[in-house]
Amino acid sequence: MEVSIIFKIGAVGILVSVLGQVLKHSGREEQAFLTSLAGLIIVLFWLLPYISELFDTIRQLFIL
Amino acid sequence: MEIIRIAILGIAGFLLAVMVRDVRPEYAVYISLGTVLCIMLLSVERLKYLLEMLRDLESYLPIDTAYLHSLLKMIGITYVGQFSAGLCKDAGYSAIAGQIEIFSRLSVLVLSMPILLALMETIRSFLS
Repeated sequence: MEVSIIFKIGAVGILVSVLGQVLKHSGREEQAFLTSLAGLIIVLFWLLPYISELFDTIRQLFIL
Repeated sequence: MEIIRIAILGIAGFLLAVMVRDVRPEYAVYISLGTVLCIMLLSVERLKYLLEMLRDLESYLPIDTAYLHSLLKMIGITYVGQFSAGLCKDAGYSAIAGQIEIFSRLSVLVLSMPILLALMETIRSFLS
């Protein structure tokens, strides 16, 4: 799970950009924006547990 | 060896980020954040081992543990500050990074004050 998160973020990025282009050209501007927002939320949901885990270990490690 | 794995991880991360940058600029920042997190999680494992060794060494050193604890705190503050400042600089917001760095320096200074006072006390006790 460690390394694959980078490639998953890249995949979401590419997917969102392709979807956005398709939706934009077919005239649905808002859906394009909504898909990029959904991609953003998905990526954040993946990254947040890692960030909190990192900061927890650092806090325990350095007795901060 | 381990370092080769980390190097490949970093290179793969920034290649992916460069590829996605012109299409979706914000995802380049997320990919770099993900890569930095992965590498940091791996380096925190090594740090844990080092700090266990430091605790074993503590028994040999005559210094009391308060100084070592504040030393550890300083290292932690610089570690986290450097991590977040680097990320802000990467994303292009060096003003925020500058503020984070100044804050981390100040907090390290605040932590070092008691040690400095203790040093002054010992010097004065020698002189008087």
